[in-house]
Amino acid sequence: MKFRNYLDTIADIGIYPLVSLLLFFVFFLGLLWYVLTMNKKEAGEQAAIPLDDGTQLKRTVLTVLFGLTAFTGNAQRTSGETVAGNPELVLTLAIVGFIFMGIILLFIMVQTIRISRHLTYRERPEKVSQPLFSNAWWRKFSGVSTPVDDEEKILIQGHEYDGIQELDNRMPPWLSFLFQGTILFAVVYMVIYHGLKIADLPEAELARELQRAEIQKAAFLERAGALIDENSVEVTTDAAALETGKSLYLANCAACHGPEGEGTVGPNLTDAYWLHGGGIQNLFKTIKYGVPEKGMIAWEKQLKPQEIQFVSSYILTLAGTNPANSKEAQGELWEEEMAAER
Amino acid sequence: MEVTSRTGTAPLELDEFAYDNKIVRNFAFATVIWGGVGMLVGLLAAFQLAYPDLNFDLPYTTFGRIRPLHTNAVIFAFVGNGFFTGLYYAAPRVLKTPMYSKLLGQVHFWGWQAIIVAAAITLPLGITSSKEYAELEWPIDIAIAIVWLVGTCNLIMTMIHRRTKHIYAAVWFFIASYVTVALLHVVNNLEIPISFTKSYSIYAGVQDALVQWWYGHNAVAFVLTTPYLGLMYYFLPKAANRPIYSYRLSIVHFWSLIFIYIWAGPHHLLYTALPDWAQSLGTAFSIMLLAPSWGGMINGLMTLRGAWDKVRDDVVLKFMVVAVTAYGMATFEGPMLSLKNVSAIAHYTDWIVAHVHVGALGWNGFLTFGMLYWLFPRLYNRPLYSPKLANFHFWIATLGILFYAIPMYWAGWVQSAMWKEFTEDGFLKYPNFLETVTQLIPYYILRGVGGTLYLIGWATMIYNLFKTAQAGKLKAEDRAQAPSLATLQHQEAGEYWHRRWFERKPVLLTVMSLVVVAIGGIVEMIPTFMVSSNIPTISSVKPYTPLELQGRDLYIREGCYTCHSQMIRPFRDEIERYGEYSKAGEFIYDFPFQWGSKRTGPDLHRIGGKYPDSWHYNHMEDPTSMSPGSIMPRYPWLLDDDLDTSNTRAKINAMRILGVPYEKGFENEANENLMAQAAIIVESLGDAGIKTRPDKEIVALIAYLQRLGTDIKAEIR
Repeated sequence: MKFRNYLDTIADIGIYPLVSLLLFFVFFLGLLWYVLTMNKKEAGEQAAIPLDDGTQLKRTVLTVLFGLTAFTGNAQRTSGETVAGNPELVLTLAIVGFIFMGIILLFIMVQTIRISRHLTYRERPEKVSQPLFSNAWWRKFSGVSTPVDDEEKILIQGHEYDGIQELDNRMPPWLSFLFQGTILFAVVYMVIYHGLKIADLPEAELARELQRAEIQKAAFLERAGALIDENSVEVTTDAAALETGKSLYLANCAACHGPEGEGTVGPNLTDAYWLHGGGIQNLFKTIKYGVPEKGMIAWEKQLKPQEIQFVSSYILTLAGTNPANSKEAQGELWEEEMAAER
Repeated sequence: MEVTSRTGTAPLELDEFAYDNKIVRNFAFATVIWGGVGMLVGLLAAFQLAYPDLNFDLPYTTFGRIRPLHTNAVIFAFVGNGFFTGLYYAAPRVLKTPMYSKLLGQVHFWGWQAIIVAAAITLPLGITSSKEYAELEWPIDIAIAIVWLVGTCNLIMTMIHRRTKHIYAAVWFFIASYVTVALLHVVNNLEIPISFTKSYSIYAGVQDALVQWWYGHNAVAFVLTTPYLGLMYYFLPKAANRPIYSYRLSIVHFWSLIFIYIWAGPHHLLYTALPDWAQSLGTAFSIMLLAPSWGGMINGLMTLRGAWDKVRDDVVLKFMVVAVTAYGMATFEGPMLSLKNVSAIAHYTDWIVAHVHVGALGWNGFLTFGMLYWLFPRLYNRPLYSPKLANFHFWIATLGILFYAIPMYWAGWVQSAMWKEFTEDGFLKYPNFLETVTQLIPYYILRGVGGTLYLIGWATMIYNLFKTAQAGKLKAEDRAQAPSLATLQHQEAGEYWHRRWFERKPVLLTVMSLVVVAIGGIVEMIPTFMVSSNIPTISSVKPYTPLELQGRDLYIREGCYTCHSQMIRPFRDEIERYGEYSKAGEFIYDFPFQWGSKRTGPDLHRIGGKYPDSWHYNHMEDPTSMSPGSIMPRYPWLLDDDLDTSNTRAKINAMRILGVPYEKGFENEANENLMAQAAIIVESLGDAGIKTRPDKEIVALIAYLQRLGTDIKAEIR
């Protein structure tokens, strides 16, 4: 799909797999820690829960289903945007999508644990106090540790303005962590860009973008060259192409056809007589597939189509040069070509 | 009634006083009326983008003049009056004293309305400084400063004369908003007048951009956000009848919010010619803004804990819950948008338009509506005429926001993706900018539908409030009594530091707020102004000729910056589409800068020399003649109207004061120079078969457009 190509164009794409690896690693460490520290007896009890309570089961299933719908909805949106064809946009949406999915997964897990715990201790509520994701922990983390009914206790005395009173709740820990996290992010951000200077500022970013575009374009043109075959090939008169053709000739063909095309083992390429037909198309075909029974090898695995085009075009420029030690003419006179020459 | 003081047993004397409701009623009426005007004008602007004929071929109704009218009306007339409505109701009550001076209140009210009327007249006339949300010209700027200070003084004096020992959180937000806006307004609007209706910003180019977006961003912060947080801190607990969730959180989020907000301005200028360090600071501080902003949302939503059952029934709370939620969404989106890779996609597109409207329609609109529905029954001593109709308002306005925001988000993504897409062989997939615009017209229509729904809701509110008022009678004042401050002023043992230092000392609170907000601006501005390496000079950049200067002022008058940027960002697609990316040194003679913030049309920074003069002439007469399908308005009057050259001399002199190196005595020959250049353009137009005269406005505008971005062409080989 196109998607892969877009991803390829993103700078430093290699960092993302590393980041996800790290995330997974941390996640599994956390899970391991949880498993090691959890109450084994409780785990046994949880495993032995008879799933006979219809309502609880329904709740679990619904939670999971909800998560899954959000999943697919999000996945659709992410892939739908690729039509728009913008790598940064796709990346951003993909990352947001993945984070979102991660949060949903985490939510499902926490809910599942809570529900199963709830099931276990339904009859013995006094035991609902657990090391991780216990209700108390969760309430404290989200900033609602004091139940509404006990609010009187944290009502601040003397804070009363036109009937408005104030509670003595602390800043919710999650918000406080968020704040600290963003401060850390900001510091790291400035250090990366302006202290260590390891991230690209706009000008360097542009240079890289342009460089990338050049490579992409070259790759495309190369691929476009790959489309040339014996039916579509045309003579090129581009000087650079002929120069390339000449060096390819000297490296690969001169051994048998002579450095000037005069012919040694192979036939003379400078005269008007051709064994397998003259003209660019026949030449291309002969080079590409070879004539194994006569000693001409097939070059299609060694030369790219465009290179064959270049070298064929170069050979055609040798016509009529009459180099010294020319081998005698072989094959048939190539009429059309000669006619066209005149 | 008698109360006993905490320390003694002696009964306290109670002061008798009354809260004035008339001023609240007046501001409330103004809010409702100007809100309607602002939204109607916005609706016109919205549909102009889909149906250009709605520009009516009149200078006064073209998009470039209508859009500033819309933004100014909504920000300062609607939200501004909404803020004052709430302030004049809430502040006296939480401070247990009437507002300090009825006269100052009257001056504040009528002065503010007069300013709004002046804005509504001058902006369509094209009298503008072209700095976004600060477009008003210098006489009005001065009036704003005076009226604003009147309001500020009235609040400070009220705080001093309070009858409560401490000052409640809502008032912290009010006073911080007052002093910060005063600072922003004065610094951003420093300008040199050349006539009663025209002035030049004293800052140029990059510096002007920095100051403007320091202002622009914090106009959002201190007009649209902090005043409304103050309103939330009063009206939400009142309506829900619940205590504020966390006093400590209000302290943390108040100080961190006002301190951090001010630094974030440069995130409007990512990838521009602003120095990199300033851009990065803007991003870093915007990220840190997330938690302080959410502090307000959390304190609002958590205050509703234990009252959520009421939300189901009470339309006031419904509005407020959606308002606070919209605030939370917008303040999450804001930091995300200020990340460079997101800004690269979102900036200049309708994504930003969607973002601000979630804030304006959701947060400001809904909180205002909630407040008004709560307030009117109390002002008129009557239950609300129809809670059912208010419910209808709630749902249709919510629907309106969705219809507005979703198409605009979509339009932003579509356009940005189209701008950036290349074909495999390295060409722009959509080389014609217009293709990326016509694509958006369906979204623009949908957005207009959303706006219409919202406006229908607003109309039902007017009817509902009117009927409520009609059925009742205005309670001109609410009587109250309380012991005087003197009897309360004794030191408490172990008083919390914040209460001792700030909540008991209004002047200290005011001054500290000002100090805290001043820091960010100073740190960002001083180096940009003082350190020359921040704006590398380019020797081939020369001052504008008199004709070009006049043309530039026409560009400003017509509000071209509302749709065209002059800032090519260093992206492959932009340098392919527009040419070399813009450099800081190119803008040193741009008083004020014209970088723009939205590309409804293409960037114009390198438009110079791209088309022949005749192209511009025909294009201004009818854009569709040169670009079939264009949604740009026609500007026929530029072809007919004579250029006013009587002020050329004053303009040259003003520019020289600002540091533009015109030779001594040049002002005397400026008009000759102007006519000579005009004659050349007229001749080139003549060659193309267009007959015009050198003293027409169009000639000056063409001269300016043809100059744009050409100075450094010599420099970059």
